[in-house]
Amino acid sequence: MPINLHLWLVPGLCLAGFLLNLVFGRLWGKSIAGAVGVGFSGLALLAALWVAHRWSGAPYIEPHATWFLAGPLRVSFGLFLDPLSLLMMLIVTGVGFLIHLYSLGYMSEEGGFYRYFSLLNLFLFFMLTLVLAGNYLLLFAGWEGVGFASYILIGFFFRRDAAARAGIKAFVVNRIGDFGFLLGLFLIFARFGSFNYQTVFARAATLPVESGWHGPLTVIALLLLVGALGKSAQLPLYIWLPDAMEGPTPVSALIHAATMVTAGVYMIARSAVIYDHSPAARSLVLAIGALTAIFAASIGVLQRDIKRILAYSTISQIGYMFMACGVAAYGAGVFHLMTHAFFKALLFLGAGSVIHAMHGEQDIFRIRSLAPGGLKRYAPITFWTFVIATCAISGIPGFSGYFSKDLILERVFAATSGAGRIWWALGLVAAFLTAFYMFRALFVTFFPAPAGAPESAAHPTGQEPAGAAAAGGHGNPENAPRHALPHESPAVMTIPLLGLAVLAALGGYLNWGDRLLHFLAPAFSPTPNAVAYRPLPPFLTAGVQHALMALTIAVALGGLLLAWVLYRRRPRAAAQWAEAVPGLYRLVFNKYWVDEFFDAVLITPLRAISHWVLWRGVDDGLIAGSLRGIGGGLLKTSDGLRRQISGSLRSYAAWIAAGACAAVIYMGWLTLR
Amino acid sequence: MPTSLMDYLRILPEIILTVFGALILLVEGAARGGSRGRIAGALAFIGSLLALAAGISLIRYPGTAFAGMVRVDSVSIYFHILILATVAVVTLLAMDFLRTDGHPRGEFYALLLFAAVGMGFMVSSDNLILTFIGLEISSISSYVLCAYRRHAPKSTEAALKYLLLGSFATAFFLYGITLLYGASGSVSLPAIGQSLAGKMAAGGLALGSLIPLAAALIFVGLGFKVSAAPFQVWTPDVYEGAPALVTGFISTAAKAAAFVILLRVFYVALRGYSQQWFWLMWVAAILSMTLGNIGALRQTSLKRMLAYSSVAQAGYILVAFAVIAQNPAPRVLPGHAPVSGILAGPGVGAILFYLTVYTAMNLGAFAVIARVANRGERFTSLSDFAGLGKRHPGLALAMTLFLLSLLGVPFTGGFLAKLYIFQSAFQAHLIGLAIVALVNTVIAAWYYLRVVVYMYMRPPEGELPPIASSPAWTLGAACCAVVVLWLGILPGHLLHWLAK
Amino acid sequence: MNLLAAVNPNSLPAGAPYILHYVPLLIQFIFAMAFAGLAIGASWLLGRHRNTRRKLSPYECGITPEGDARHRFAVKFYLVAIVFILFDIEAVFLLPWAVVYRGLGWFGFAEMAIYLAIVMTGFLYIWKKGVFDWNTPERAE
Repeated sequence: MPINLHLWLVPGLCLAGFLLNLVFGRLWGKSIAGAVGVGFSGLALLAALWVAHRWSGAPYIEPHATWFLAGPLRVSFGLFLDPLSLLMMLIVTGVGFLIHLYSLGYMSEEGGFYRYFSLLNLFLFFMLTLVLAGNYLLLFAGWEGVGFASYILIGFFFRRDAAARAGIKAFVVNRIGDFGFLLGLFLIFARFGSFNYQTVFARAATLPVESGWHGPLTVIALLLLVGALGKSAQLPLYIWLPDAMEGPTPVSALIHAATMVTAGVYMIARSAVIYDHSPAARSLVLAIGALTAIFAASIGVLQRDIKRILAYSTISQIGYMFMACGVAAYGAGVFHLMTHAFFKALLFLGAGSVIHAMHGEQDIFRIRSLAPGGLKRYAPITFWTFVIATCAISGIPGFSGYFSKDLILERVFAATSGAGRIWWALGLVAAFLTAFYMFRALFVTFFPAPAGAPESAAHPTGQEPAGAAAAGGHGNPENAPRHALPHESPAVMTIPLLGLAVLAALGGYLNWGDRLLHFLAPAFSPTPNAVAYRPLPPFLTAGVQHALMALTIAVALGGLLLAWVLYRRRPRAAAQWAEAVPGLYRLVFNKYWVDEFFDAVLITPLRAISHWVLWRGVDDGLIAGSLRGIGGGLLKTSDGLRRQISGSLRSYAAWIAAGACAAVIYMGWLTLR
Repeated sequence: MPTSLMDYLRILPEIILTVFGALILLVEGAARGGSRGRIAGALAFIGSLLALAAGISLIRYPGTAFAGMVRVDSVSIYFHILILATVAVVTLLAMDFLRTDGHPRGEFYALLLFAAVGMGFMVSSDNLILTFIGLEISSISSYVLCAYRRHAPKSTEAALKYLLLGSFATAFFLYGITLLYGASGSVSLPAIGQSLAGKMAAGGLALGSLIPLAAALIFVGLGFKVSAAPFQVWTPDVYEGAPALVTGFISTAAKAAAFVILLRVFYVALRGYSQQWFWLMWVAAILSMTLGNIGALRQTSLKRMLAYSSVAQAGYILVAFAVIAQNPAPRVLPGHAPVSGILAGPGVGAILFYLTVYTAMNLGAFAVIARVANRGERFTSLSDFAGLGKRHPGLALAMTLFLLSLLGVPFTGGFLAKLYIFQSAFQAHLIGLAIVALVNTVIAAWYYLRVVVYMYMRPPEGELPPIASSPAWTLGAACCAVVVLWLGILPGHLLHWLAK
Repeated sequence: MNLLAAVNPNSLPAGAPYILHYVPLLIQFIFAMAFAGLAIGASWLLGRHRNTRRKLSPYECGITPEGDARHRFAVKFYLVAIVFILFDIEAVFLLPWAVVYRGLGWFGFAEMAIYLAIVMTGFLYIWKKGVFDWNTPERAE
């Protein structure tokens, strides 16, 4: 009998914090509301550490009351702990706690303090439910819950129209993904008769590996993938994430960088057994990951809003995690998930600190022009931590991101051959672009403008940059004096920065000697006798490995160098290059017009159907139809534009009579047939 | 056959309701001044609680009464409880509402109780004539209730439309009964089932060939009552015009009762013909879901939007009816099967669960609308809900809960209710139907969430009068919210009870 | 199947759809419709349309019409008419009861007493509501 770990405490504490602030928050002042929010997330972290300390290492199931029972379906509140969920739990509570702390400073001037903290706690609760769930249905509940919390938090500044719209967009796009996910869940149940991980995986492991696209496991894997694409903002469902940056910056750091958006990767890694049985689905995961990585990275190159740059880099980095899952290197994917959580949270918090310092300015070029002599002079801690994070994400050797990204590229190289290496090559190019645009952001944001730099970067199209329009990024910019000098953030904000900086710098060493991979391996093959740790193929000798490593390093340094040249040495070159290929520039600058595409293909027709067919057609049109026949009805439909009369009794009776005729004729036909 | 005391015991809820309804009328006639509505409301509340207690006590007296006309089984007990609880909650909701709305008269409650009498007979009737009478009692009361704000043109218009179209639909229902009688020689549901089963067993469909026509006609009549497409056309106008609480009542309790008739007629009597009526349910389900959801997208009146939404919700329930048709459990004498057998059938449990959750969440939503609409029901448009989160956080929170449940977000009853239906559809291999239902849920997100957005993310528009407080209303709405949450988080109890 | 074969229901083969028994009815219906349509249509087509004022005036049992036929009646007439119908029908229920009264005994008496009590409740209600009071022009709510 294993010891009782009291796993429920971890999400339970977050729920308690949420409820307390929800009920009493309005009565309490800011200090108590903040203390409760931070305190309970800290307690959750302690509880998580306690659980980690007492955990024996064997998969642990904590059954609770039966949630519901319907025929053969029995779903419990069961929580589940294995290496994967342990790591996720620690990431979520650890990063979550630091971000709570940071929020104390960042949100201090905003209204709705208690509302903010209660929602943040609520988010942690759902996220922990998601990662600790012992069955797919509870995972889905957490999945929907984090979506809801994120939707509310994106729209936190609800007086801003853009924030409200971004919230809706996030929710609706995610519903598309959830639709696939839900179908996948139903199929899992239909196939395995259970939602429990252990039952499902044990039964799936006995099935043969499928070839082609029609096997049941492949279909399940593909449907789950649709859900993961929505939640993790991958092609083509990534469109909500950049807009989600309308939320407060700590929220972007926690939800839209470190934890929630990686839930898709977690879910795929969790379903490793299913994906292992479907090479076809895995190859799709690989392709989508690689394409997203390069696609989002290329958009990031031209963004001017610091948070949007980070948003696209998040999409791109999650693409790497998908690539890793696509070649069954789930451990590598989760490793990158972890390092990414560290450095991306750090980047966002750093960006928040910059925005805080600049009183709400988010356009990096304007930040440069507003901070004479370079922002690094005014905010040294922010600057140095940002440098560490940039090095980490760019894959500069020694920093955490280098280890995980290099590992992923190596595994992709090892698992592919021939034309399949294109994915690896794309990943490499994306790494180059990542280094470039991140150092571009660093140089432009923190350094003074080099001599001869144009006041603003080139805009051959003359369009207003997106960042400028959203300049009021920090909630209510009118609260802050616009032209005060930039300043360093208070200690309550810099301490989390320093903490995350240590993790971002050193987090990579956790995998020294592949220790993390060995630790995680049992989670991906629950049947004890399966090969837990996948050895490398023989052709990947030490020489080849070193060559690959050198290539990754070269690419990262190349990106750094290019950014250095374009934004420090020869500032005019960037504009000249852009003018050389105006079409491409506009295409990338406008993010490939994907939003416009979705608008035209999906949203407009749906609205049109509702408007023209049902409202005008059915509501208005049919009245005319009963009066003057079909021909007159059509004319009258367009007339209805002006005369919005509805509710003719005779037309209603005609509907019912028509329906009755249809039913009777159908049944009569059955009779006389 | 002499009637015994037991016979009366088995219709005790209806007797209590009738007595209290008559009492209210007497008090209405005798009393003067402002106390009238209050006494009537109190009487109605006591009456509905007593009837509820009687309904619960029926658990100990299952069986038939009045020569098999009334059948007290788990379905009828279950729906007695559901309907009577709904009446009690509506009474609570209405107490202050009627006063602020300027209609303090007590007839509202009498009509409510009489409607409940009709519904009670609808759910426990085993005889088509009694079913018809119950249907008429509840319908006629509903017509009058719709016209309750009789000085408002919209209200009277709604009532007139409901009356005329309802009579039209009832005619179909009656014609269906006639044909059924002609084909089987009986109006008793078990007898019809037996007679048809016997004829089927004999191999001859000769006399039975009118059955499909009867099924179609009965379906028209009941499809109207549950506002299933294409018989849903009346719904937007009537739901919009009727007072919000009345809409809440007729869109939940009346619909639930009509669904029970549908269940009894098709599942008990016409079970042998499930292959024939399956497609009726299938088509109606798809039409209702799609027309309901897409129609709701552009509505600016919240009542009208929820009217379309309730059409869509009826569609989801019809999905479960298609499931039932697909999986007729083999049973020799369907009519005499113990009703626990009915409940065990795939899909039936899903229908009961869905109707329960739907009643709570829809009634709750209309209760909030009635509150926000304020005196004279002037504020029912979407823009009137703008900024409700600031103006009245409690109301906004309740509305959010009900809307999220209608949408089917986890941790609300609506989620599990949908889950059971979709799951039963998957198990019955009705993949296409399930996918249409899922797509519809996605579409529905648009208009439900739009209200939430308005409440929390838009500033209030114009000067709105304050919303008067009402303890009775709060209690009633809290009941709805508790049920929605309770069934969303811990549905185990109810499901266990259903499974029994 | 030839529908005309069903003209004589007795000649139908065993097992034929039952609805075919109604074919004679259908034929009767068609003939009735056709005859009515023909009669009206023919008079409309063949007759001469020479309208005079007198011809177009409403027919009132041979008496010279006076004034406009479209009066507005007080709503009280409708109310009383409806109440009359209601109680009329309720009274009709007494007839079958009276026929078997002896057989039912005290039980029947009690049943009818309850029934009449309910009817009387309704009567009291409308009485108190002032339905029979002709003199109040508009009752205040």
